[in-house]
Amino acid sequence: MKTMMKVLMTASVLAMSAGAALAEGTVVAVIGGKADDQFFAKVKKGIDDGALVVQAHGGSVNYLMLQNYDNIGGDAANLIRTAISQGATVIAAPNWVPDAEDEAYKAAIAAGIPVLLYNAGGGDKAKELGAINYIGNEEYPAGLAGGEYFGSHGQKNVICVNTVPGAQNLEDRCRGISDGITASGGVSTQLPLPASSFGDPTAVAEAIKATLLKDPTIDGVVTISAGDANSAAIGIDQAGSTGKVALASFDMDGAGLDRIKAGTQLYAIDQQPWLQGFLAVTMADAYVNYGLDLATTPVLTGPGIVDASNIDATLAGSAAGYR
Amino acid sequence: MKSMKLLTAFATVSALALGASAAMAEGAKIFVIGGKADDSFWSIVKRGADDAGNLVAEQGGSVTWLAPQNYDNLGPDAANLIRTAIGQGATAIVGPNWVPEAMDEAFKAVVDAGIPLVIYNAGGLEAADRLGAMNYVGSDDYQTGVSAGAYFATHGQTKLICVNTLPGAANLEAQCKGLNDGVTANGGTSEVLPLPSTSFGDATAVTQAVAAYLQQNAEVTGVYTIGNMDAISANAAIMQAGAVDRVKLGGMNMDQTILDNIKAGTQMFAMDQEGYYQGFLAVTILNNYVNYGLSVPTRQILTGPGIVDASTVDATLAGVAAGVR
Repeated sequence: MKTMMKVLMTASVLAMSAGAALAEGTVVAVIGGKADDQFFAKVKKGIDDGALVVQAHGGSVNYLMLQNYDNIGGDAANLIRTAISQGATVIAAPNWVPDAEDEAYKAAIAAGIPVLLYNAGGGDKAKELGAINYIGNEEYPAGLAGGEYFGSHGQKNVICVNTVPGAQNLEDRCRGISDGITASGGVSTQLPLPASSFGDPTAVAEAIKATLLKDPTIDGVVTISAGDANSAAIGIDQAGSTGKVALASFDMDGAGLDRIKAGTQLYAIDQQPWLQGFLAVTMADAYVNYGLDLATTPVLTGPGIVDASNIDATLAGSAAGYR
Repeated sequence: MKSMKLLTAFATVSALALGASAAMAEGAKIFVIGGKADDSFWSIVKRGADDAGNLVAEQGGSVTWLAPQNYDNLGPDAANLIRTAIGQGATAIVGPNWVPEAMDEAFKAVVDAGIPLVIYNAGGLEAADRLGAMNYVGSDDYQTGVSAGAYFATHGQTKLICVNTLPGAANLEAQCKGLNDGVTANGGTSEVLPLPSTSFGDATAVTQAVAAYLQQNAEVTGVYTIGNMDAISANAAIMQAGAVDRVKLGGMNMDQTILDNIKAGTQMFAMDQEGYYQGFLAVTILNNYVNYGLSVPTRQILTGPGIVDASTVDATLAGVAAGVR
């Protein structure tokens, strides 16, 4: 009896809050990474800035965060289900692990809650699921832009240092670099390092140094992460190639930005996480409140190339938590 | 006297230099050239710019809307507004390339002064590239037609007419061509029904011409119009021709009557260029570029066409009530 009563009461409370959600404005639920994750801190900054617009429209933003990264797909799927049960009017989320998450997305859409993909998933996946749009990076175009940049700055023989060979997104980055530089007559080969070297800066620096010493025609090195770029800078220095070999990286950190400012790194490819958070929130809000839906899909937030020409604005953005 | 002038010139230069470095700390000074705020379309674009302006203001910057007093001399007036924005120390400028002959020189002055520029609403990516602008945010007439043609075909209408009440206008010709390509790709066909320019704005004449055509051409199952007034005329024509069950109506642009018709089921869909997003995204892109070097690599952001049909009409009506559609 008591239990029955409790269930009924809970149901009526839920129904009430669902009705109230409409009257009180949109609840934009956003699934994302941990707040102490450097990358997601910038996404979160974009989400918070986007919330200003949502609030101006009478709504609110609810950020549902992974507690750790041990079981990303399953945990993200659970957060999507939490958002559904909490009465979200629209959900923005990264599709990190489609096998684990797609079912939860479909449940949201079946419940009449529109979904927008950001950060991971891509335009094709958004179309497949019936999501509003995809806001984020795509790896191959990012690589292509990097390869073209090398080509137009005189590099002819570039190595793409891959510390996680076999990972599809990183293979796509290196393939893009190669296609981009080939268009201007250069070449790029991949330097795949054994899995044991991932996260071992000394091993990565040593491997790059050895490769440069063996082939003096190499005039460019690009790494698949900001951490590897720090190792590569050491490797280039130890090979006595500073000034002869141009360094570039996917993603960036403080050390990388300092090198760009000092002229010892040519560029970094940024996927601009702030834009992912800001556009995901404001576009989800505009869709669900007013039926606004961009004709352009996906909206790519990266690659944004950071080089000497925009390093000062980027450093200002970094200090303010935007980059 | 001469040296006085020189001194003034120096003072101005150093004030400008100060202004430039202060801009970083104070936020972006974004100037938006647009239509009149009491114009029903441009009030929506301005609303988007104002919404994006929330964040600009939060960061210590400002958004200034510059509009011509009237549309009698649009190109030169808009060019003057662009020059005004430069003169008032804009750190970023957004504008439509309505009349390239009259406006391109002013846009080039923006780029020459090192002020980031976004073209929106009119001009397309072609104008953005020609002028050295960062991006184009707006719609594309041909794509709008293609989407409309595909929509008709996937909803069973494969014999279409494109009612063109301003034959010769390039943007409308592009829309009718797009409609044809969109329906042809899905196994249908379309014809253009050009009406003499004397019928433009004459609702009765448009209604009679469309009704007569539908009576003579029993195979036509879809009518597309290039403006909201024409859609209302065509709606009446379909009824007069006794073709309500056979012929579905779709068209460019929308107003309250058209949305009511979509809600009631007497118009199948309307194509909307989503002016709100033009103002919102143009200002957002420039603000973050000026402050933090962020840019959107997707070049040409098409805000439309957005298709308003029975499935989206309620949210759209809510948007109209809120002033964003």
